[in-house]
Amino acid sequence: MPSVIETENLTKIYPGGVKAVDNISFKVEEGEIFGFLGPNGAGKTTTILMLTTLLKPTSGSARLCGYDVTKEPDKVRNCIGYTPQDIAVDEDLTGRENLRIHTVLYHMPRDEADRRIDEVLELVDLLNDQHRLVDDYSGGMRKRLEIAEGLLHRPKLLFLDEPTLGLDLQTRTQIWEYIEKLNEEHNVTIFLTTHYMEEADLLCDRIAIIDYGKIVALGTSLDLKDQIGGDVVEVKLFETTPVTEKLSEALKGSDFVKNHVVSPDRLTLNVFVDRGETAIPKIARSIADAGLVASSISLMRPSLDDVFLKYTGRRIREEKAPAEEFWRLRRTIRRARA
Amino acid sequence: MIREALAICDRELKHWYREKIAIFMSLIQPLIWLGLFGNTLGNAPQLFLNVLGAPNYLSFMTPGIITMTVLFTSLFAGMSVIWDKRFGYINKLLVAPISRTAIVGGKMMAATIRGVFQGFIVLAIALFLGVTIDTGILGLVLIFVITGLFGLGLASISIAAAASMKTHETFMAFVNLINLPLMFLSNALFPTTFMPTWMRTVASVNPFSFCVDAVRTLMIGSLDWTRIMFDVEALAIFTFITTSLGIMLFRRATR
Repeated sequence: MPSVIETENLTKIYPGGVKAVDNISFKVEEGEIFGFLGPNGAGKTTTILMLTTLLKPTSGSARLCGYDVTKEPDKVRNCIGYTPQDIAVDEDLTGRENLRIHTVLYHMPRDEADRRIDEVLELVDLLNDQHRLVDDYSGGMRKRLEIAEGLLHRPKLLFLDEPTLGLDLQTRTQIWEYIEKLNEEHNVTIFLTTHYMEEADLLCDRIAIIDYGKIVALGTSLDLKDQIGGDVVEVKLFETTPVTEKLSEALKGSDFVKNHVVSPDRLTLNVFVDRGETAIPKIARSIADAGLVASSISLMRPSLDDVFLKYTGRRIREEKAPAEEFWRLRRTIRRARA
Repeated sequence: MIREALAICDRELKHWYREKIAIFMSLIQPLIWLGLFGNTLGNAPQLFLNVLGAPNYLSFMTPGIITMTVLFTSLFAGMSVIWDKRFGYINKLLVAPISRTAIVGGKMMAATIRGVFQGFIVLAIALFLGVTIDTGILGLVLIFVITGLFGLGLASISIAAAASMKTHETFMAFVNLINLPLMFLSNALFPTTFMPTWMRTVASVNPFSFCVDAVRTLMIGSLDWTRIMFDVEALAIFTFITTSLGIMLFRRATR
């Protein structure tokens, strides 16, 4: 059984020399939810565009469902569904009309198409709104319609580019449920990009962390966290006593500490240790010895953010702005158009 | 392939006929041409009308205004390509297992239908104002075919241009660059015999002129097959070239 996705040294260099995707190789097996996690501009969308045949790789290769994306694009297109990051459903049509066009594009016989449209509408809870113009839909409804479109032709593999970008928490939770349902009940392999840590953590069987076009870590969420190993002890200090060199030196010298990271304001300290329970008293003592006062000490399991931090030295920024920016642009364009 | 093209065409037409105000607005300009400009020569001397070979100036210019309406409408075909790029809809079409030719063909079809339809509304208004079609029903059918051929040619030029453009500003600049010259360097408003030689030369190879000439022959002439077939052949060559170019450039731009 070949892998659903198999890439080898896939690379994209844009005109002007920007290396958006840099020599990435990975495999996605059938039935997986595979996550591409990384900050904005890390190369996630470029990778999706290459895998969905919309963009030619500069070098390297990718095979989907056993077909090469550059040599047999039509066969690849038959096997995949794609839900773009920008919601691109047609606002001047009704929900059902949007889906109807899609069934024609995927060569579905008419009676099967009608049945299938009803099915996906029910799956994404849009049956009652199917005859309304998409213009009147909320952001969440549009996204659900977009996902429904990606599913219509029962693709073996579905690409979801930032499926919950800019949506409120309730809608995000709903969409997560749909994604899980699809994967479990309909056996769709899912390739998902996100810059939300908890999304990748919750949904994905395996996660690739991507930064500056390179995969810096790949594995299950647990594996990745285990690479960090053990626990994280987070210490918050009083404002009057920020972390000093003396404390850093002391921690570096202790054999139970694997690593530690100080926040830029020097008031939060993350200490990576094997066993948090026994480390806490020792850390507390080091703090007292350095003449500092802690306001709280908590024990945490490492998060994906800690993994990202370890491999890139940075945190994934939780950006809201791009989505808001997007909607504003969209409204402006609509006004200009009318 | 035909089915997919029809679905894409259907989408374009839905956008169009749901914007009833836009359709109405687009008819105001031809109305002004017919109602105002058509009447500015209302007292023209008989000698002038003899040169035109028309009972009145309105009858002479109506074929020009019909063709102009087809021009202004079909030349906007590329706009939908630009919008689809902007909103990312084009990616959905491109990721589907369909031929690129079906995508571009559907859009050309829709723009042609729009052009012909708008042209026919103008014709209906002109008939209401007293203009006649001397060749009757057959003439009407032929006008339909001829304006359709011309509309398809224009829609193709438009899509060929839009294939590589990113913004609607650039596209509008392109449309404004070619629409008025195409119209004024033709026989739309006056006979080309009034023009200086260089202009007459340009007008005689302008596809716009062929469309006007054919429609005019049918409206204020007779079934002069030699003349009509000459015009139709010229338009067919023009449309064949632009359609091939449109399909080729669109395919190249989207690989």
